[in-house]
Amino acid sequence: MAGRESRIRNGADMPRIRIIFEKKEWITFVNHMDLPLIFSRAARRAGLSQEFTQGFSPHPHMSLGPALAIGVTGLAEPAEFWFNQWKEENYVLWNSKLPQGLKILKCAEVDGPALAKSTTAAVYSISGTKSELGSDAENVLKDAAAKAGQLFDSAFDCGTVVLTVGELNRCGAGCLVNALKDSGICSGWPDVDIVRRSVGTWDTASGKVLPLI
Amino acid sequence: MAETFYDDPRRMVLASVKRPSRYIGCEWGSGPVKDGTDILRVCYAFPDLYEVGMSYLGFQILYGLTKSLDFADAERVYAPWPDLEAALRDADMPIWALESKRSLSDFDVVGFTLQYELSYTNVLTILDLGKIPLHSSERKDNDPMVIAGGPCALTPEPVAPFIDAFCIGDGEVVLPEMLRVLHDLRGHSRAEKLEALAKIEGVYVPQLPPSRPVRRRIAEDLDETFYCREMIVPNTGIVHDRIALQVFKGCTRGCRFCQAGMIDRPVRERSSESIVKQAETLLKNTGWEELGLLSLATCDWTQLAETLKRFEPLLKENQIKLSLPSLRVDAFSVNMAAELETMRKGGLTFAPEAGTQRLRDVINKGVSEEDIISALDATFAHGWDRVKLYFMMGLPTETEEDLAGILDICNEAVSIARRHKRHGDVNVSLAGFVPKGHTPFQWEAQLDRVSLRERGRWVKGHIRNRKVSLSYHEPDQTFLEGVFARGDVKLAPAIEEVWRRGERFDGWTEHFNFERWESVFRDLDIDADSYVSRTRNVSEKLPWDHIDCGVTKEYLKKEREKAFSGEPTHDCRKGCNGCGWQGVADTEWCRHAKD
Repeated sequence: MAGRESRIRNGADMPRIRIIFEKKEWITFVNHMDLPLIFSRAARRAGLSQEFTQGFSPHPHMSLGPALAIGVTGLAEPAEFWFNQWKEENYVLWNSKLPQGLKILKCAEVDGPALAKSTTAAVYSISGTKSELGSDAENVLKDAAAKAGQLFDSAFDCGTVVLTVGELNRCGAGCLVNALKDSGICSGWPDVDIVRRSVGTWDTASGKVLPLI
Repeated sequence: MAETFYDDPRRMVLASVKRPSRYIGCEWGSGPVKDGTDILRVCYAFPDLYEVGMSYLGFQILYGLTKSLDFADAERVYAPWPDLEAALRDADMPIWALESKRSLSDFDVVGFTLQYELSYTNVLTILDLGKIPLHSSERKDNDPMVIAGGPCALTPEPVAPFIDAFCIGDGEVVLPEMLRVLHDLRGHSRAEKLEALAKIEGVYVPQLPPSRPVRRRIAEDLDETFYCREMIVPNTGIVHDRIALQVFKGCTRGCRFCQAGMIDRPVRERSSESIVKQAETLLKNTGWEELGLLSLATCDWTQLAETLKRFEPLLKENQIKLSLPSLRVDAFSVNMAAELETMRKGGLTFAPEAGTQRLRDVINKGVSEEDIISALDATFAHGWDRVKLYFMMGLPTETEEDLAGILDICNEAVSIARRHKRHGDVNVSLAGFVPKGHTPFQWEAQLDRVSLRERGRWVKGHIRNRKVSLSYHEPDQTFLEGVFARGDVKLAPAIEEVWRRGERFDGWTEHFNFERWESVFRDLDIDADSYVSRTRNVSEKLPWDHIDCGVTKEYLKKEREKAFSGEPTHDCRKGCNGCGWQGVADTEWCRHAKD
């Protein structure tokens, strides 16, 4: 809201930049809610001029994708940022100022519906760290996803369960781990390795998750 | 070490603890770890949580300084919260340095900062989880050299058996010499290293008692001394989440209760030009959105007004907030804060310290009734709604009248606020006074726990205004702080034993367990009371006499006498008081010997 107001106020067109980034290795232990500050400090270091929200406590205008649980690797996470100006080559500079483990893979100027509207599905892969998961795990995870949110698709291969789920705010990695724990398949977070492979828009016709860029 | 991150057993441990981001490193400005075998590897260890330790400017400076030496590299470790400690012990896994994830025992040097007496048990946790023998005497040639600095290093005896060498004074000047010696003696015996360290001025090696007091070393020209051009920027919220610029070291006010003001002499200022340049560099390199000007009394900085003017365009252009952590109690300081757009939110904090003029003269606070009233008046006139006031209880010569004076000031604040039609919330923090070594009150008895609690309750109970809220420090913690602040080496076994029985994070009320301390003192037959309850004779030998902070004992005695006759000592910028630094330090106010 604040962004739109200032756009009108300034009469300028603030570029809205959508990025797809990865969150890997140690930095997966950083909370999702800490990411706005991390990205905006990196943008400052890169000398990029961000648009600020109006109001009592102005902060850089941005919008994050669905929360990614602590400890979960994200291979293609979306976020959006508003800048005062934007040049294509900025993202190389921005990338060079990010802490280790975070990397912007793609970016594009977008308009249209808000990010939250477009993120309707995610693909998770779940495997065991101490022992391989069996097909019983796949059934448990399918049930959990269907119950908590929405299950679009699932597959099982060599000890890894791949789930495509919807209703991302209700069906996150936490509920999947809890389901495995409750069924006695594992004892909790240390026993599983979860990766969110992609986040995007569910396309019923093709049965696929369409990328956001 | 594990082949990949995904096989790393530390990943599994972190998956089971709260706020694992404390333990991963990966911050902007940390690392990269230097390659090579001829590098002296130093791990700086902060004996408290990451959020606290990352807010400490000293480590930011020493980290950058160490990395700037071509023969050394720096990494960091912080005290693990008990959940991680339990997980590490379960997995029999050593604690690691954030950057390389190396175990602490693989370092050449582990360097602690001792900021606070109640973090001593955490020093032992870090050593033990680092698989380093707790006692200096038990360490072998291939164990790391354990060094320590910070204010508590000036009264080091309670932790002396755990530390190989103390750095007395500014680390910016002493540490490079210590690290050089340790680098050049790599592969030599521990005894040789200790001997070489003991020869450096400003280094105290407990195993090699010095024949004359160890003299505190200082950096004289701060513009020419190492300061940060880069800083480590946390990925997660910390206590002071901003760029910190130290605008001067020391303080000229001479408050008699204040250890920092005595042990950090003489005053040494940065120039405005150099600070502005540093601020520009750091804003660019860190991306931080806030800037704080740090010192013992930033409003006393002679360059403040000029610097604030020069900051203006820099702050506006980048939407940067500026904060002054401690405001002097007078209208001038408040008016200056009022000009800073970014200070307009929240409230202002003042420290009158004592409730009556008589007692403020005893402690040489240098703040008059009029200063307090005018500061409060300016605060509410400028539209602030809240003030926070710091006071102490248990100061030498304190009576009920002085405590009542605290209430008077609070009530006055409320009525001034009413006059200016402001909400006027008054938040009071009442700390128990702890006499510290190297101050004019180092010989005084500390008020006992029962009386401290009584006085705290008395003040709290006499608040008649709903706008005033007060909290007083836990007297048991104040007592323990006092014991260690003026303790001797006989206390070391108590620290070790209480730690063995599970004591951790004594500064955190949720972990502090006084009964555990009491039972340890009883079982080891240590009379803890004796360290705080008696007035020491001024001729008696003190456990920190072998540390010379630069201020002479004669000066402290004279200040003590003046305290009891209520005689103020003026700010030494107005003329030298002869504390011991005159003619010794080549700094603006001390260059010339007192006539």
